[in-house]
Amino acid sequence: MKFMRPQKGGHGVAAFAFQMNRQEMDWLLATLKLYPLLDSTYHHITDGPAAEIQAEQQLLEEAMAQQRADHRRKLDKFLATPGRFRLDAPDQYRFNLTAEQMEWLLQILNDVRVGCWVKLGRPELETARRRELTGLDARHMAALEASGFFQMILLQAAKSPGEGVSPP
Amino acid sequence: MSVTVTPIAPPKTDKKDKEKTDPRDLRDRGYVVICWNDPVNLMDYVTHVFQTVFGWPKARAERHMLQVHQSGKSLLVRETFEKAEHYVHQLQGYGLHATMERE
Repeated sequence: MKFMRPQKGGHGVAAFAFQMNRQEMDWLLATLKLYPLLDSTYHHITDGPAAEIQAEQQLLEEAMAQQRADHRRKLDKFLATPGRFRLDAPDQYRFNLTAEQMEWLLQILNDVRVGCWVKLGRPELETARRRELTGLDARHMAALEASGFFQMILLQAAKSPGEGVSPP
Repeated sequence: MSVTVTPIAPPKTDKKDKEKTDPRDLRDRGYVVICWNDPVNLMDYVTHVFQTVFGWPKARAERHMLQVHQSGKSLLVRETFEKAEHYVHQLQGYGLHATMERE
């Protein structure tokens, strides 16, 4: 997957354009399908005893649950948009993101990455990479790496919007 | 940087306390927001989140990201209870391990 130079999207909104092959698209869709992986109880408002701040803790958990529901709705709508992934060239699919879409997609990918890490038992990643993983653990490790890969491309685009590949 | 933290129970605001202390003293920037290290969040992602949530320039965001990475945590801001809570919600919405503590 590669980042193209920013294009003008619909209604004059600046958009980031990306191009990827079929295999990358399958990986991206499979990764996004896992969302959400984290649940609200993952979040802790303080490092200290929680008993004294139950109301604030509950508020945080509710806010995170609400955010995940909102993101899931946005993601479903995004993926259901006809022509979202347009065949640009043989085995090259293009899709655009607004800055706002980039932001929630980064959060979604990070939820999958952190969620996979939690499900793997919160290991040091180098240790986990050296382990022989099977079954569900192997799938979580693959999704963790895939989400990181897509995050890096989005972050590169957000960081240096003028440095993408020029469209043909 | 040394940070002394205690549980974050919100300041009491009953009449007795109000007579003793100006509530503004208790609520005014008496809370710190801390980001803790973990092995999973990407360094570029953490920098991006700090820039987005706090509106910091890249250099400042990177400095705090490196502090998290190298020292295990970074004190990001001192704020009122409400603002600290807001920032923790924002940071946790991005999946960072961030907490608020009373100084």
